[in-house]
Amino acid sequence: MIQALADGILTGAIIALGAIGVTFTLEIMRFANFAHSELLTWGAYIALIIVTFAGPGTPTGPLSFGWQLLAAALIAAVLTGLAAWAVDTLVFRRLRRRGALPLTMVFAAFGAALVMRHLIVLVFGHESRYYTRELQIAVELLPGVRVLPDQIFILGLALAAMITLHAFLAWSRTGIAMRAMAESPALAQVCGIEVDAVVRLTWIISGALAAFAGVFTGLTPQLHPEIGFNLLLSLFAAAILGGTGSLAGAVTGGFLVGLAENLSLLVISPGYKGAMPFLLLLAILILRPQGLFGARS
Amino acid sequence: MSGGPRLVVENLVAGYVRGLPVVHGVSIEVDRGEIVTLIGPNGAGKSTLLKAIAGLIATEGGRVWVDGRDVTALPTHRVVSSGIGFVPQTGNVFTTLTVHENLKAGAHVIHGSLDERLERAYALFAPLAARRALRARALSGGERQMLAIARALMTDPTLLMLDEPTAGLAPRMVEDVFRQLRGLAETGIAVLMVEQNARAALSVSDRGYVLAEGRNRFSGPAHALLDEPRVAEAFLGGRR
Repeated sequence: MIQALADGILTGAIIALGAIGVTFTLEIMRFANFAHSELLTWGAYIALIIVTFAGPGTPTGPLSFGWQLLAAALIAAVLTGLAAWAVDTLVFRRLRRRGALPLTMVFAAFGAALVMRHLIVLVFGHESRYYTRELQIAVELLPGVRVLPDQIFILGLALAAMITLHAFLAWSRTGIAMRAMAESPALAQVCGIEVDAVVRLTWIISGALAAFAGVFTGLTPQLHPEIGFNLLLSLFAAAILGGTGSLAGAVTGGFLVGLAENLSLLVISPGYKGAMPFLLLLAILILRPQGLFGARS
Repeated sequence: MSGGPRLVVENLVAGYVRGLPVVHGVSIEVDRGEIVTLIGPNGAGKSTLLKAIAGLIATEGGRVWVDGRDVTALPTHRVVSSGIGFVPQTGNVFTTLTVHENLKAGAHVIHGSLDERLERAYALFAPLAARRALRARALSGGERQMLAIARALMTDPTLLMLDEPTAGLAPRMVEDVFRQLRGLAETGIAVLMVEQNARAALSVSDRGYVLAEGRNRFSGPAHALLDEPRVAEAFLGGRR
């Protein structure tokens, strides 16, 4: 039971990082980006390329990797952010300018997702890959609760990223501009806020967080071209559960979805784990379609 | 800058759909320190004209100059930097942001510290000062209008455009808004507003334009428009 809680919180942190990007795209670009999960995969593989050349570093303390992997994750975050913006420029912005319907955007996103995923398959193949082959020994946090030191480190980093983003949105003038744009693009423009600049920044932040989520997933324990895709429904369930538009909502949604997926293993066989995000999404849409933090419209 | 009028609009053609203009070649001028009101029936193109000046909708013909600078094809965020403050009719505050954040958002194009400007806004609109940490959705109609105007003034515009600033306000608030605008005009700002409340608006204005079907119909000093029988009958709801 407590072990499931611990696992749920760890999965939840990763889902939350991805769900933030989904929420941002929904709020600011106003479409459901089903290609967002592929940004997780891209981030993970970009970090893999760097690690392949630089090495994962000598294990530091109880961790299975050194500073090189952290540096690789940071570089991957920046590059994935830029990649997200590039995909927008190539695909989504053209459609927005033409006044595409939401359904068109969704199909375009599915198309982009397929291309992005298969580019990874093309280059790296289907087999699983590892950042590091170091063995790790789980530590017993509480009686009966074992976690890997890597996982605790990941949770800390994920929380730090969320708190930094919260501070940025709450206090910086650019953060205010992003929130203004989310509420009313027309009024934001009247205030002198440049729509394209906010859109660019939104993609870079969303892509960077997705890359962190991807690297963290790949670290526990392996990478394969579907790591992002497998999380797609969980990301959307978290974003919708939180009620789109708020960072707090996406983060809470992420942790709740992570917990629900892992706690369900106590009563159902692991074979059905994949169905949990579906069930959750259904339950949310029926019981509270506006999400936990969303206003009833 | 040039000695000409602050805002010159010449033969402006604009609409929401290309090829179907709502404004068919309207020309207006607003000088520094004067209040100019646009009146006319619904669908006359008054709001469309303001949006076209602000760059929110595409213009298909004509030109717009602010202080002698051509701003006709500029995107909205650049028009703001050229000295226009715009208060749209609806959705003119960010309801999810606090009063303080609304004012900061209004000053987005200003670099450096905003402290002085923020304090000036609170001095000018005292009721907002006590509500600075409140989300704008919690404000009353009058307070929202104040916030919308204060927000538009954050960039020190030379021209303030307002679309129906008194719509939905209690009569006492309407007087307050008009008094504020008068005070702003006295500091040298050019004020251009669209008003449904035509008689009251004209009585605080220097000049007025009557638009009908997207074209100039009458123009002149505000008192002359108020006294003109054809204007009164067709556009001011009959003779007094």
